[in-house]
Amino acid sequence: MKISVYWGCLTLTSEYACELSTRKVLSELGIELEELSEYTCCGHPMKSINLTAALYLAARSMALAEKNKTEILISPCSKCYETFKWAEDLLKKDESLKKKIDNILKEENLSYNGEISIIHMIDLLYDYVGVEKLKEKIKFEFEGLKVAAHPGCYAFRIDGKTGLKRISKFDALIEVLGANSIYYAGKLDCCGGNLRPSRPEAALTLAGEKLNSAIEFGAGCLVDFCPHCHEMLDYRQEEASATIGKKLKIPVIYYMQLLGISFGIKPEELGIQLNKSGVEELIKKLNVF
Amino acid sequence: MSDKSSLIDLLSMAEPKPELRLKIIRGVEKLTDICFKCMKCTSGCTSMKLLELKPHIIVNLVRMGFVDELVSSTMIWDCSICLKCKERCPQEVSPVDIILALRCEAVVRGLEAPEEYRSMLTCIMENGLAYREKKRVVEGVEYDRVKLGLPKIKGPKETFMNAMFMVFGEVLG
Repeated sequence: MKISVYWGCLTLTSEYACELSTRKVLSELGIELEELSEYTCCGHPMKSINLTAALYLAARSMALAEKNKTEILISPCSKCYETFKWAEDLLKKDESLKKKIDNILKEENLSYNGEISIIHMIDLLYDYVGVEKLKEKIKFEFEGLKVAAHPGCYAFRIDGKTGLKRISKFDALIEVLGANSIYYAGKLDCCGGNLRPSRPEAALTLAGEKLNSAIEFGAGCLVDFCPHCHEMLDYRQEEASATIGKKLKIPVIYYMQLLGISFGIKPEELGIQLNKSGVEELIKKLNVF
Repeated sequence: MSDKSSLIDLLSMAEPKPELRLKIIRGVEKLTDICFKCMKCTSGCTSMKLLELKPHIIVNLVRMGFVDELVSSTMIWDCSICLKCKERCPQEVSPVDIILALRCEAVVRGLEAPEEYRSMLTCIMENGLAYREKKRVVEGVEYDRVKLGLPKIKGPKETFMNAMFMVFGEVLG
């Protein structure tokens, strides 16, 4: 299977572990990634500055993906996924808006026809790859590991009921690994990532409270998908715990990294060395290498 | 709703300007009218607990035409864009989209916008992405794309800049 991939700004410029683990695990599953010929912002931050610019940026990347002639476009970043879906919907509904965007796209010899399907990473793994195929590949199971799943707002608060199903799909993807996806208060709460540009301290409080709740409910680790959530919960964990006046320590790991470990891929190849929240200790505990 | 004179805020003497109701996303203006103030948006709002953001009040201020007051207030920048209000609204009003439209209006008017957003815009205009490539330092070790064996980022062609100027011309012109 060949699919187009849009990495997203944060993945390309600092959350390298997301890119490393996604590349490695998808190639292991026999999925070939077709890169876009150019990468520009998906438009999400521009929604707060200029909606036309946000719409144009999203349409531009979708047009570049259509040029690849693949049926599917994925992004490991949920924010980018949401922005593409938003733009797709708006351009379908509003013809005069589409004309305006088409005109600007023409300037760059591009065209967006709404032919590519934008798929969320959770759906790709659950529906397109399938749990059965994952089971075949899994070499190590993590029995007894209590996982706090963090789906992230943009993975399930869009697409109506289809979106909501992604919460249970994510739980199922964790259970495939032999681990337990536990309930914890605030499981569906925001990580604070989107509040950071305007209200950094409130954003860190949200991240801190989320981590605190996961620890209180006895989670051994927290698993996420989106690089923006991961940055808040892993890279800024120390800041977040200082903001709420606690000493929090919980390993935060990308689902793709955890899946890769269960496939028997070496942790360095999945970018584990880039996680700041003590994931090495978790791997020692898992006792697979 | 025909006689707006009764709506003057006696504390600030602010007068409503119904013609200013937002027209940035088509449909927003119509959407504010169907809110029946059940406050489901505010009761679930991520920013309510921390920053006392009240989405239902924003929706209804827009409905009454107090747009000038809203775009110059800092409260529109308190939203965490978590989409809970959009998900919960029984009338499909989507307060978050109204808040985003208000932010854009504030920027068009040259009012203060958070520095971080402005720097993201500059960065997009310069190299296409919202952030600059950084070295990630973990436990004293520096990592970058080359060291990790990742391919070079493919930036946009020069035509991108022209297109972006066209986009901003569309809105301001």
